[in-house]
Amino acid sequence: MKVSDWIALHPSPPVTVSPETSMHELAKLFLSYPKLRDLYVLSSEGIIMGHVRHRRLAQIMLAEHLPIQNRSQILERISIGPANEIMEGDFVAARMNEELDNILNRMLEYQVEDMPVLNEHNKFTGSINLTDVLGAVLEMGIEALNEDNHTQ
Amino acid sequence: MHSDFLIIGLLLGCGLFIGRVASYYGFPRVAAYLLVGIAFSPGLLGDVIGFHIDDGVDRLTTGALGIIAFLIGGSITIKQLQRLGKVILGATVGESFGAWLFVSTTIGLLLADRDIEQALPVALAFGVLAISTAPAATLAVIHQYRTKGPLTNTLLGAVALDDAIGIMSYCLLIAVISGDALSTGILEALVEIGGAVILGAAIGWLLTIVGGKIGESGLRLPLILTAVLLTLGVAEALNLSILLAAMSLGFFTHYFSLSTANRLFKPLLELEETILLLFFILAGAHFDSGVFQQNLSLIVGYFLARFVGVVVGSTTGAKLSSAPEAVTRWLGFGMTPQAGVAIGLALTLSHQDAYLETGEMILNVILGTTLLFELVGPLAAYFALKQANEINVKRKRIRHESL
Repeated sequence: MKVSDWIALHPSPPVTVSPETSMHELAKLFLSYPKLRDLYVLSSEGIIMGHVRHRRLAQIMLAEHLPIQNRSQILERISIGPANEIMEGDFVAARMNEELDNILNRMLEYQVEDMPVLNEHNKFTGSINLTDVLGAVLEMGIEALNEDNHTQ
Repeated sequence: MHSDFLIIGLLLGCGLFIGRVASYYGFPRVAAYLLVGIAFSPGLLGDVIGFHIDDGVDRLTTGALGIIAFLIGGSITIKQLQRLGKVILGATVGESFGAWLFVSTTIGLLLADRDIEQALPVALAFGVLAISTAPAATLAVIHQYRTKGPLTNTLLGAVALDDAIGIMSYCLLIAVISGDALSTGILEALVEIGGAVILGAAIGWLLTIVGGKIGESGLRLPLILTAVLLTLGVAEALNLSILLAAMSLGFFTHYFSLSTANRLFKPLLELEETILLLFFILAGAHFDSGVFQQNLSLIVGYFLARFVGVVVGSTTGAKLSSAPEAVTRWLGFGMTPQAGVAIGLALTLSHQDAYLETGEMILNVILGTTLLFELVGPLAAYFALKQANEINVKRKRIRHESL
């Protein structure tokens, strides 16, 4: 199955935010869509600048429960910045014409749960959620995904 | 059977074990590490196992302090400083200046009978060493009692920032003291400091570019170590301030790499505790009972002057920044713990030309006062937070889970 086919069948929740999105707005988004594990920060041109992981957000918001913190964590705790300050700049992405098989490998290798999909202009066009893929595999079996792949 | 590796392994192992035991019984781990180092000092077990601190170990200490300076520089961003606000910045500057002024003056008075050419550099060095605090000790109290409020926030910000001021002041002192005359000394100091900042910025820029191209996480640690060691080496060769160059490297690496900074710094952050453990044990191993006994008045003088200086300085800084009353009244008591950075700076101070004769004495005084501050500091922090009504749970025994 091609990524573009998957996207058409499984529309992604709103996984993108602006660089100025506050920590509380990010938390609200994660809570509104419990399956979400990554939010992507988009520039005004629609290009991905980085992503905020669910775990990273939880670490900052629950920092007072950590008995040991380094200086960066202490400063982050009392001086919380917007999305573009807490995001990670490194991310992996999929292309619309790629095979889903390849994408799954990448998601597992880089421990990504919401992988962004880019069009030919490198703009964000959707995302693939690992839980959705697992659900599909459980429902019809990995062979079905592969067969689908071979027939297309 | 004698092996340097065996000795270092033995020291680290004893430090870890005794530290865990101390922590379990509610005593500061730092104090335990220092006591292990003291037990292995030349007059005690050090002679038995053949452990002597030589130049190689001292070079290792300087390199390790360079890594700590890199991490301190990399922990701060301009945007965070802007958001922290004037209260935290004012209190930090006030605490640093108060500690420096009170300690320098007190030690200067205590050394009044000595030649001023020897007394002045020693008094100024103690003043600079008094600036840094121990974030981990304060954090342990905050975590233990789940404190919340303006004092907690100001305390966290100030203890995270003042180590940077401590290192910058140390570099400034060394740069000025190393000069032959006051006028040329200041000019040389400006070159030494300005050059170090530029060097750190240039290597930080290169590190960001190369780091951005390296995808493999396993290569990040060697890459950053390369950058830190190159910075220290070039700074040393050009007679620039090596610690300031390392701190500048950290700051500019974070500045240029922005969103990828966390991944770049992570491997070295995991080394920080090992480095601090090494500092405490090595500092303890410098213990000399003769020097210690001869300078008891300096130990007591430093301890009292720093305590008062930190309290008065923080209060003044907070008042001038219009801080809430709970902060102005109690902040200083929370900032008294002192440990890692002061010990590291005191260790490297003894290799400086201007302190070859007095460095051992300074280190032994800092050793004694660190033990005192590690015992009194957390209690003073608890007292401050309790007085400010920021303690949210019933009192529990303080467990020093962190350094």
